[in-house]
Amino acid sequence: MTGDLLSGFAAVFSPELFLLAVIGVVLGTLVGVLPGIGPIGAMSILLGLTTQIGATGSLILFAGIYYGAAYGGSTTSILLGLPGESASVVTAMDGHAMTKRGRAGAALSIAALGSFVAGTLSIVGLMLFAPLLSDVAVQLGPPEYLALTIAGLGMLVVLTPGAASRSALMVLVGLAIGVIGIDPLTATPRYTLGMPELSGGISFVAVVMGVFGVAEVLDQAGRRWFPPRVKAPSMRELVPTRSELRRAAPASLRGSGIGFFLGLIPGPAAIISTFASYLTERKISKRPEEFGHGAVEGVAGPESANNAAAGAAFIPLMALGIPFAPVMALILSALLLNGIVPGPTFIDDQPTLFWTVIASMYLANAMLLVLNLPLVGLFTRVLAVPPGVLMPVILGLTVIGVYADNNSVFDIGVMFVAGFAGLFFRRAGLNLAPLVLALVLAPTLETSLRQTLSLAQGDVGYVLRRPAAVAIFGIVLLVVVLRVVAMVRAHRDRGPAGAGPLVAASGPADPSSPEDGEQGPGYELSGRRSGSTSHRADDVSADRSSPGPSSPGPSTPGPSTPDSSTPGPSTPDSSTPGPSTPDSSTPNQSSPIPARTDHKE
Amino acid sequence: MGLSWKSPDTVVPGVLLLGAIVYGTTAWGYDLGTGSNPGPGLFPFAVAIAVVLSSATWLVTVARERPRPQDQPTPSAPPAGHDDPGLPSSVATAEEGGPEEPDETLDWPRIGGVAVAALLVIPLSTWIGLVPAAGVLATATAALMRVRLVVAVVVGLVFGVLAYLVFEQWLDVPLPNGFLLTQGGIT
Repeated sequence: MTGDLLSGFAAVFSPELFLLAVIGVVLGTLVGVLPGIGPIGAMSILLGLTTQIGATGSLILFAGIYYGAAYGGSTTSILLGLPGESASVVTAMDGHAMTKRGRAGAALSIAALGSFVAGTLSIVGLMLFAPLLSDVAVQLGPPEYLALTIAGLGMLVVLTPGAASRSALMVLVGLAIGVIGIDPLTATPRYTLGMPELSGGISFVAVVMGVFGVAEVLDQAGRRWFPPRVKAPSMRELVPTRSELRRAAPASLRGSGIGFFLGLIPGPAAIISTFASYLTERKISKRPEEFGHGAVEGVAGPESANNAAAGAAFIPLMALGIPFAPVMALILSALLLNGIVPGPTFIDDQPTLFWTVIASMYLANAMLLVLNLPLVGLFTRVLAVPPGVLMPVILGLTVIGVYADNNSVFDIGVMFVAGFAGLFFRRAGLNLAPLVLALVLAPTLETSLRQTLSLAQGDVGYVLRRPAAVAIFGIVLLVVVLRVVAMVRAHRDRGPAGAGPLVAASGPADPSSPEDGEQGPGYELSGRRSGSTSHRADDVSADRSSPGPSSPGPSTPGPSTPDSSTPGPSTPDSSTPGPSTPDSSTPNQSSPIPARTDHKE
Repeated sequence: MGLSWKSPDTVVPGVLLLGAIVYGTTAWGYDLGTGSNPGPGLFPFAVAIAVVLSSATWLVTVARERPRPQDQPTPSAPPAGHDDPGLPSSVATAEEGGPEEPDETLDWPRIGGVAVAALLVIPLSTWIGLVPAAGVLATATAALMRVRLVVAVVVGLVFGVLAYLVFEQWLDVPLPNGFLLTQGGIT
C-alpha cells in the first residue's frame, strides 16, 4: 500500500496533474465563497472538459473542487454569517458569533485545521476501507444493486431537508429523463422522437449544466446586486489561543469520526454530519450555554464532520460504482466519459488512477490549509465581483463546455431547455440535486430491476433470500419510519410547519413555498424554522443591521431565492423571515441556523 | 421592472402531470412484458404512474391550501425605494429604520433577454464560430445585467480570447469555426 501511495505521489507531482490540483482547490474555494455556483455547478460546467484532461486529471480537479468548496463555504459562514455552501450552515452559528467577538481569525484557523485533520483522516479511511468494500462488493448481484440504488435515491429523498414528496418527484423526473434513448436490453428506441441525437440518451452533461449552470445565470440575471463589505482578519489574528486549540482538538476528532461514518450512508451526508456533530458537541459540552455565542467546539466539530463526510463519500463510489450524493454522480460521470466504470474491480483494474487520486487528495488537503488562511482576504474580496461580470463568463463556459463534451450543437439546445426548466423548478421550490442523482442512477436502477425480476421468475421470496439486499432495504425502511415519526411528532408538537431535530417539516402551509432547496429550508437544531439568508450583498447589508449581539447566528432576511427562503405560515409574504426568532437569545434551547439560498450542494 | 413570481401554484405540477400522462401512454406502447420477463416499457410506465400520483397530490394540496378571498391579507403600500431599480427595498427600508424587506422579485424581462441571447448562440455558432458566438453571448448577458457597455464588451472579448487559448490551443477541442470565418479564409 505504501509503495502504491508513493507512486501515486510521484504521478501527482507531474506538472499537469499538480496544476490541475491547484486549479481544483482554488476554483473550489472560489465557488465555496461565491454565491450560487457551488461545487455541483462548478463541476457541471467543467464536465465537458473531462474527456480532454483525462480520467486522472478529472478526478483530481473534481476532488480539489469538492474539498475546496467545503473550505470556502466556511469562510463566508464565519466572516459574514452567510453559509457559502450547504454544509457550512451550522458553522455560521458559532463561527459568526466568534467573528462578532473579534475572534474571526481564530475561527477561520480552527475551521481550517479541523477540516485538514478530518480530510486527512477520511482519506486514510478511504485508503483502508475502499479496497475492503470492493472485495465484498464482488459478491453483489442485481438484487443488491437494486437495493443500493433504491437506498441511494430513497435516503436522499428522505433525509434532504424539505418536502420529501417534492424531492421524490424530482427523483422521478430524473429517472424519466434517464430512460430516454435505446433500451440497453432490447435495443428498443424509447422517447427519441425519431431524432438520432437522442438515441444515445439525453446528454447528462447538458442537463446538469443546464439545471445548475444556465438556471443559475438566469436566476442571477434577474436580481439586484450590491457589493458586500468584508473585513478579512490579519495574519496575526489568525492564530488561535492555546485554550481554543485545546477545546477544538477533541471536537475535531469527534467530528471526523461522525462525518466519516455518516459519509458512508446514502443521502446528504455532509449536511447531516454537521448537525450531528454540533448536537453531539453541545450535548457533551461542559459549557452548553456557549453554543450559539461562539463556542469553539461548534466550529471545529461541524467543519471536521463536513470534510470527513466529503472524503468518505468517495468510498461507495469507488468500491461499488454507485454514487450516494449528487457531487459523486458528477464524479462518476467524469469517469464514465473517460471510459472508466467504477465498481468492485475498479481499484484492481485501475490501481494507478486510484492511488494517484488518493495522493492528490492528500495534496489538495494540504494545499487548502497552506493557501487558504493567508489568502483569506483575497478570497473574500472575490465576493465583490459583480454577477454581471461573473455570470456571462459562466454562461459562455457552459456553451463551450457542453459542445466540447459531444461535439454536438444539439446538446447546446438541450442545455438551454434544461436551464429554463431548471429555473422554473427552482422558482417552484423544487430541489434539483435528486434529479441529477436519479439521472445518473436510472440505467443501473432499471437494469438491476429487470434482471432481478427475470432472476426471480415470479418468486417473491427471491429477494428475501438475499441477506445483503434485505439488510439494505431494512435500513432504508428504518430511516423512512424514523423520518415519518419525527414528522408526526413535529406536527403534533408545533403544528404543520414544525420539524423535528435535524429534519425540517415536510411542508409549510404554503404549498408553493420553497421547500426543497438544495440547501433545504431553514435548518434548526430545535426544529424551529430559521430565517433564511442569502449570500448576496443586500443580505449582507441586512445582516449588518439586523442581528444583535444576542443573536446566535444570522437570520438574515434578504432577497433569497425561493427554494431556500423559509416561509412562516403566518406571514402574508411567506418568504419573509423575521430578523431573529423570538428565542434567538437562548441558543441552547433553540438556535436558529441560517439556511443559505444559492442552490449549492 | 421587477416582477415577482413566488407562487407557481398549479403550473409546475400541472405541466408534470400532463407530461407524465403523455410519457406513460408512450411507455404503454413499448411492451410492458411480464413480471418475470419485463419489457422496455415497464420501468418508464411505473415511473409515469408515480409522477402522475405525485403531481396530482401536489395539485390537490395547492387547491386545498389556496387562501380564500376573505383570508387574503390587506395589501399595504410598498416601502419607499421599492420602485427604484437602483435601490433595493431592503436598503431603503433599512434607511428608514423599518424592518428589512426581502427582495424576492426577479426581473423577468431581463431573464427573457438573456434567454433569447442564449438561444441565438446556436445559429450564430454556425455563422461566426462557437467561441465568437459565446463571446457575443457573454457581452449581451453582461449588458443585460446592467454592466456598463464598455465593461460588457471587455468581458466578452477577454472571455473569447481566453476561451480560444484554453479550448482550441491548450485542450485541442475541435470547436465549430462558422462558415463566415471559414469562407473568409481566417481559419
